[in-house]
Amino acid sequence: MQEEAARILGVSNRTFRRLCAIQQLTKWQTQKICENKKHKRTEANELLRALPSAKRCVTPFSESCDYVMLKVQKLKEEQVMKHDFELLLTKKVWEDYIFAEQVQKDPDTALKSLGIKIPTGVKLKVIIQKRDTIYFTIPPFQKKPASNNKEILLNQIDLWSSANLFIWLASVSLKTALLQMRNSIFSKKD
Amino acid sequence: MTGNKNFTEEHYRRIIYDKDYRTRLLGNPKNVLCEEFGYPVTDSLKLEIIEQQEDTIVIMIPPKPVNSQNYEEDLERVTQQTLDLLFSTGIGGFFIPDDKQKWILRNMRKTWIKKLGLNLEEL
Repeated sequence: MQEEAARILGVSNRTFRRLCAIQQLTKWQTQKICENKKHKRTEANELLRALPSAKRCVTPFSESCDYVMLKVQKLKEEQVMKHDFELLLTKKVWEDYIFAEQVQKDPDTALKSLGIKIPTGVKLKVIIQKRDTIYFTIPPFQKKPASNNKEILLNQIDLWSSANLFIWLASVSLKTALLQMRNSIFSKKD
Repeated sequence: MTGNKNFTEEHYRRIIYDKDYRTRLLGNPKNVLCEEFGYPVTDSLKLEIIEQQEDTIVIMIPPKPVNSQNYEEDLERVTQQTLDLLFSTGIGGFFIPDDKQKWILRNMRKTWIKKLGLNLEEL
């Protein structure tokens, strides 16, 4: 396993053994590096937590040990990045035009294919913003109350340069559903 | 309605409570809104309605950058800048993807105020 981890990190076996010898990478961490490469979910924070002390001891030994630590950190970042809902969905939409069409026509099926769980009873609408289009968002329909002073007090928003933003728009009653959806991407099994 | 500085609120009231008006707006957003605002209907104007509903989550994904110098950076930037817009009874407003549309919307509002016989300086 040490050899595999060394290969993944791109360092020689000797460097890796040296690293283990000074006990900065435990067997468990070595295993994590291997799992990482296999795209399994990793306790990336554990790796990061090991970093400060490791770096302190390793630096005098060899520069390539520094390199190992950078690699470990990069792997950690990649793992987190890969599981960010907004990033993953946007990337998929930008890179896969068939998916981009499908996610607008049939968001449920498209999102499920990414491993996203859609909470029951929640309807979805996905819009890929077009730069040449103005979007006008309107409040839900309501029956007119008998008395005028029971009418809703409406908030208003103008969002300029929305092309630079990933936007969620939902009723406050769906906020936990939104969080569940966003979170479901973390439990995805590759 | 003339002389009433609450003209946007009046408009939203109709959108919320007046089923016929709402149906017309959803059926032909551009024409109905241009008529309302006294703004000429042109081909270059593109307008879409996003209807809020109690049981629906709407996701608006940023458009793919054109001629991007740094694709990965753009991807990170637009997804780190995430807006969670959670409404209680509802929210009214516009999403304006980029600067060209900014000026269209501003002009639409100017003509609207003019159509209503209002003077912006005196509101």
